[in-house]
Amino acid sequence: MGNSVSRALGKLFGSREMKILMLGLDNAGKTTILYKLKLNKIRTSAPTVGFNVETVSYKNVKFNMWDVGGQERLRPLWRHYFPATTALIFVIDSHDKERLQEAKEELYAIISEKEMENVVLLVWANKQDLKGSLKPQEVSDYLELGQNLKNQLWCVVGSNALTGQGLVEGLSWISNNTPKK
Amino acid sequence: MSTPCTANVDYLLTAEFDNRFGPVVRDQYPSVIPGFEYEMREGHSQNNAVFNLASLMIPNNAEYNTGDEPDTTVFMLYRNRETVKYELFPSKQVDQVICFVNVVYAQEDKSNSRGTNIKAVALGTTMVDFIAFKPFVLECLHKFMKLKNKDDITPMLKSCFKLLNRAELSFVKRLHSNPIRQSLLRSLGDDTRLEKWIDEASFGRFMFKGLLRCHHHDKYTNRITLRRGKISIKLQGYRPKREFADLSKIPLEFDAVTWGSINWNVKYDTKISKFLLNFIPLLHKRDANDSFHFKLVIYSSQYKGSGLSQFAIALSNLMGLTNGTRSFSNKPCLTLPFVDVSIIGPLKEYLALQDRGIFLIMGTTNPIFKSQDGLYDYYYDLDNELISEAANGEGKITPITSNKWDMTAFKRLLTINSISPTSSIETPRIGFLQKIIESIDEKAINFSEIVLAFQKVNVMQLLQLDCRMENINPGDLFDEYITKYRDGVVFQEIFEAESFRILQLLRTINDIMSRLYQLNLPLLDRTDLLCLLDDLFSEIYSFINTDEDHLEKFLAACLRYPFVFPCSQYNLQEDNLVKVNLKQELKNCFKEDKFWLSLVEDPMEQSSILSKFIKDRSLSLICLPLLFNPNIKVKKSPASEPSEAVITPPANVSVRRRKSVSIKQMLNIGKNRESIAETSPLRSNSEASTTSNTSINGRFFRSESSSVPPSKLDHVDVNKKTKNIRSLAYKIICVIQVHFIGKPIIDQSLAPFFKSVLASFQSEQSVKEGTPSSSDSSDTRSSTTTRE
Repeated sequence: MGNSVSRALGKLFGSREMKILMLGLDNAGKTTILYKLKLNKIRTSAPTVGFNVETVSYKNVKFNMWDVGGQERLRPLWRHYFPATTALIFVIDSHDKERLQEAKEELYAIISEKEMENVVLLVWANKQDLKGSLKPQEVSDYLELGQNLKNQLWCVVGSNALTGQGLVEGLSWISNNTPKK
Repeated sequence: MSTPCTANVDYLLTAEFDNRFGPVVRDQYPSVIPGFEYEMREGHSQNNAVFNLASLMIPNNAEYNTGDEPDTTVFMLYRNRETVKYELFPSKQVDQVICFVNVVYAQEDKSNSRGTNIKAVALGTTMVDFIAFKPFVLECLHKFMKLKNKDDITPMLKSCFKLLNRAELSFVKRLHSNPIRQSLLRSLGDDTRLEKWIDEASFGRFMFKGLLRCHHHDKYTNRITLRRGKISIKLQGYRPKREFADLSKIPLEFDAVTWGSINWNVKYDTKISKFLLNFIPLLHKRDANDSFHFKLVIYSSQYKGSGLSQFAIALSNLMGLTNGTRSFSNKPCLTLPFVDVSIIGPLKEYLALQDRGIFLIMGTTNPIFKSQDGLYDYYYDLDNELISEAANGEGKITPITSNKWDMTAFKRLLTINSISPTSSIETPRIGFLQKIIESIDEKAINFSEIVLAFQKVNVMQLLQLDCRMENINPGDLFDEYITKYRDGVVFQEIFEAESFRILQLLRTINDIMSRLYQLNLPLLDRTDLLCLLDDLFSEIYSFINTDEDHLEKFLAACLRYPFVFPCSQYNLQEDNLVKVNLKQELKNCFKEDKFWLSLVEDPMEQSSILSKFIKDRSLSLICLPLLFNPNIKVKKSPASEPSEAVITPPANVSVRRRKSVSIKQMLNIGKNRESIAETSPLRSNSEASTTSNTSINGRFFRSESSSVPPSKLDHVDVNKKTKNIRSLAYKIICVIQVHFIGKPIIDQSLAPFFKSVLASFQSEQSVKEGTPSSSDSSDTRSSTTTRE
């Protein structure tokens, strides 16, 4: 991921670029995921006050990844990041079962917006390393995406931001399920 | 801003980033701000209808601000006269603006569940130099970061609030709200001079009393001093609680000079030059028939909030934008020095109401602003110095690559295209302001000098506009100016009617002096011009004697008047000056057959283009009549023959003049009044200042008809006129000399030659009146010698 060969190939043959919006409740692990992808490092992160934006290259795709703070008072501001989004990544703390309903409500509030009706949806069921976390399938069942998203591509992938598990798989799914041009 | 406000500080706020809720306001002291009432209880959801002020206090990316010192941002709230509530943006009913200085800091803390405490303290005041309070806000923030007990926060705010409000600062408010005095101070043209002059150590009580009009102690026993351009107040009128005693050790220091509607350590740097050089061509490009206004976003990912805010404020001030309280060219204007995404929603609603258009400048570190339709017309990437233009409100961005390597341009170069080989590419137009910007020496930036140079550009362009447009209403000059020139830098005070009139007077006097410099002019014409000169000097003398405001207005206009008019032969509204050599243009201005200036300075003197352009010569001009011979003897027919009347400087004046300059030339006058209009710089078909009898408020009246018809003047009358002009010139200088800024201007700006002439004249007067001379140059005393 992001290796020099793919960068060189991308330069030679042209590469796709897309805007990815990564949202989720506070403390879901969005910023940790972003910097694991970008730097392959774990940055002990303070809460995100506004946003972080980084470009992550994978194969010939440049993902402009926007990670936006998830605290309650920051959520009304998410909509300002919607324009020109190709894919939405919604990060869920699979271990925080108490707030799963809250996360579900926020997710549906986002994808019901007109600007987001054509985006592909990737849900990262994060913190799979923690004991007692919900499995990706359980998260998927809880979110009832199959019943509610008839015209939108979606996928739930288990992830662990600390090890990077599931992250490449998620980006690969986005890359394969978005228009080439 | 009409409502007087007695408090120095109106509000103190604290805010914190709550790991669950986000930014929240914790305390508002002494009361909640009307219009921003929140539930203060922790964990309680806030009323979403009210804008969250904490998002301004803890802006985007505040979590990264863990460095050496807190970041500083500023924001404003506008009070609505009708609702008596504060709002985020100015409505038409604004009666007060509160400026907030905010400091924010993030500190690692293992006891915090997310590992970091992010806190902010803001102070709100109606005072113009609100940044003066920053050291106190910083001290409060340091304490706030350490406080474990939340109950200690309010006592801390209370101590700070009481300390700052137990100081009598009405003299500071008076100085800062005096637009005429501030305008004068902003025209001094040298940072060092400002620091040196506005200092008790240099000018003692004369400066202190003149500038501040207060005592060295206020009624609370606080000690007031004037040091290096700052008014310093040692706060000793209130003793805070022991744990907050450090607050009273901080001196409260205000800048004596304010640089615009938002005053924050405004500095000029090369980034501003680069922006202006990028931006001005876009303004030129706009359709002249379009209503003139713009919305500008300045983006940077590298600047912190403080740096970006200061850049936005500097631009806003240079562009002459007012801060919501007054309209600019009949349109509202708004400066948002540092905003984040939380402002987008309310701002879009506000902009939707501005049907006349708006002048808007805002700074942000969030690139998402670029994708916000309707929020801007121009988007400037400060890091890469690239400007983009929003295309027809469709949200499409047209990047304008000016000085960066452009790959697409390179590709175009390589592409064999269908453009005819004969097709020429027109060089983008460079206006006069751009030429001046290009001449700024990046290694020796002097903000005052640059501001004065820009003011002189305004004056030059204004005077040319005045000549080109006949019968223009003085009230419309400003609108006409910004519509016609569209070069982005403007100083509104120059366009004020009386200031403009002074500029016209100076132009006319300058023209007359230039004509007097010519040889072989008939006496009749000379007398004609002398009559006019007498009127003009009378008008000036009457003007400056009205009151101190008028004197200061006159001094400011004098300092702004260019005297050298490079590029005056060009149409400054339309001509492309790209090939003009400004240095050569300036040299041409000094050619001895053109100007009296060669009497007082050496054109070969080595100084920068900007220094030559901004140099003050006004007082030398005023002193010039002191060289006139009051005892002219006419030998030949005055109507057709040149006069042999000459004058000499006083015999004891030993200052070296250029050999080629003959004082004999001084009394030879132009052919007629019309010839002034024909030959003077910045003139076309109008003769506004020499023939108009403008009366402004009845106080500034000049009528040529009051002059004796020149043809009936005999030589005795000419002598009388000459004496009168000399006397007026001297009296004008005397009035200036007793002013606290006028005196240092005379001491440092008046050409040495004229200092000697002045001293000699003073001696002469003293001898006549039988009183000792007050001149410092008493060694040069003697009576005037005349040569016939």
